[in-house]
Amino acid sequence: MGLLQIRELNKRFGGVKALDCVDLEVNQGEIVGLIGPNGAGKSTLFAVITAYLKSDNGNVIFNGINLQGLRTDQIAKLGMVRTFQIVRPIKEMNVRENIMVGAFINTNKVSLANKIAYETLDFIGMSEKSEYNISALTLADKKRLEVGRALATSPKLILLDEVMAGLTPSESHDAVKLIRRINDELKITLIIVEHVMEVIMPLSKKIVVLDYGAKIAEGTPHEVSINPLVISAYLGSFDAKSGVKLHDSTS
Amino acid sequence: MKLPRKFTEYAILIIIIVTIFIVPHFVSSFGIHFFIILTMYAIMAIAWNWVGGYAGQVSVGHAVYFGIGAYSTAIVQEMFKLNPWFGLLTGVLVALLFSLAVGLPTLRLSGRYFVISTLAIGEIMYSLVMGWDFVGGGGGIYIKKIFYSFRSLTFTNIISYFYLIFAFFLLSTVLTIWLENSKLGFYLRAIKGDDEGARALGVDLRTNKQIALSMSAMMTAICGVFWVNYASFIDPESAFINTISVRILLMAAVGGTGTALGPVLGALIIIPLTESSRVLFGSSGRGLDLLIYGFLIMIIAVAQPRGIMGLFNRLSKPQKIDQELIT
Repeated sequence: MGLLQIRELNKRFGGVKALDCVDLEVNQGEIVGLIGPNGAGKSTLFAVITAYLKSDNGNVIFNGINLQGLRTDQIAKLGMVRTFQIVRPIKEMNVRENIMVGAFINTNKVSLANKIAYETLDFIGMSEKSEYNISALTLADKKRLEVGRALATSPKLILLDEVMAGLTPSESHDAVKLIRRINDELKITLIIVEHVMEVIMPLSKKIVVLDYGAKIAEGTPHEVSINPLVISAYLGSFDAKSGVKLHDSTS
Repeated sequence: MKLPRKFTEYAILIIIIVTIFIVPHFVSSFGIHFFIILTMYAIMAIAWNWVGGYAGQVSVGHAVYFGIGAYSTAIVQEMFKLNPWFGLLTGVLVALLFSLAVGLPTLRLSGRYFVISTLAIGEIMYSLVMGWDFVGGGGGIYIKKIFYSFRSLTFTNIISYFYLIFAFFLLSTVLTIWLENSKLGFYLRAIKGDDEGARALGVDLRTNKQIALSMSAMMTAICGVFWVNYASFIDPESAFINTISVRILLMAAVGGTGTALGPVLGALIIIPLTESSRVLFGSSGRGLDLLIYGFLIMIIAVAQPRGIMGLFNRLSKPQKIDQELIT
């Protein structure tokens, strides 16, 4: 049975269909890649399933529970957390304390939260930076911290929103390794929004493509990459006979 | 790294508390009166800091809770002739209920909208009580002291009043230190830092903000209860006027919001200023303290938003970052 089931999810912003009847099923232990051109509705989808935005209609069922009417923090307690495209560490706290905020989801004890924070720091490889101020961190470290905060809540499913955007190739290589370890060692299911194709293709077994709020393709990385709809969404389609560009969504 | 700085802060706090306890034993009764005012305002600054400092929900109408505590106990004691301890209980309870009623709609608001709502509630309560004949309208309520005993919260010697308010001062300080080192404290700081991000990590924004507001309201109401029994008189001018709200906010802001020591430092600066301007200029200097408040607000806003505690941190932080970068 799927860990996350999304049924006919719709979200409109005025006249714009941000999400158009999206169906999605994510199984336990999977890494699902969510791709699509800018404005395709990837971040909106994350926002809707974690209740940052209210859907117009449709269902989200997580771990057998319908999320209808639940708040973001309640969804996080059920085991689904998201990270943000623009990192949101709390600047007034150091690295360890930031992770402790996540750890408090399962405990009221400061000492236990502290212990979980140290374990998490160890896992994400930031132990030696535990007492750093946020301002002293690089972007890669901030993104790593963002993942660490989500991990500290001991989730079943993490929604990663462009954790590799803006990283150097070697930094994103480290990030990929971390994501693999989260999946392999902690058995956490992941949905990853990512723009960098070289990163997402080898990482996930299943890729879902959104365009104009609608799901236009789903399948293995190879299937998706040869799907004409996907190619046209990314590159714009081209009528060979007339030589006229018919549809260009990336501009 | 973090612990020693906090340790220093707590050590200074304890030294100040001990000093505040010792000095009144060697001064005139006016001196004791001054220390009573100082301690009472320190409590209110501490309580304000729970919701305004740690949780970042800035209230500019905190006098409301002082007034509610004062008036509910005055009504209970004077009109229903009940024991002042019962008045204390009533004051705290009414403040709790009021904070729930206020928090429910206003804590959904963010940033400046919340600030404006607290200002509005302060003004509404002032006008309401002003026009409410049952509680004496603008004339206020006098409390007749009949018995002098601990049981009736009235004392013949002024130092006993000081002991009473000092006990509450200790209580509020202990609560602050507990808060700083608890889950609630972490959650409040997370909400202040980034409420949307905190939500994603399972922080229930409304509940945590409400707990902070209600704690703060109850502690402030205790000061109101104390004031009625100490001064034997309460009117809208001395209970609900926004000067009190501004004074409370200013103490925390001058000292440093979101710290244990800040509000106490702020009280040590603001209250002597207020009281001395009253003594030096008498009634002709009325409003002079307001002038000073305005000036202080400007200085803090422009030069040192983190108050005096920010100066400490500024001194200690640069070296810390350098060390971190090297290691």
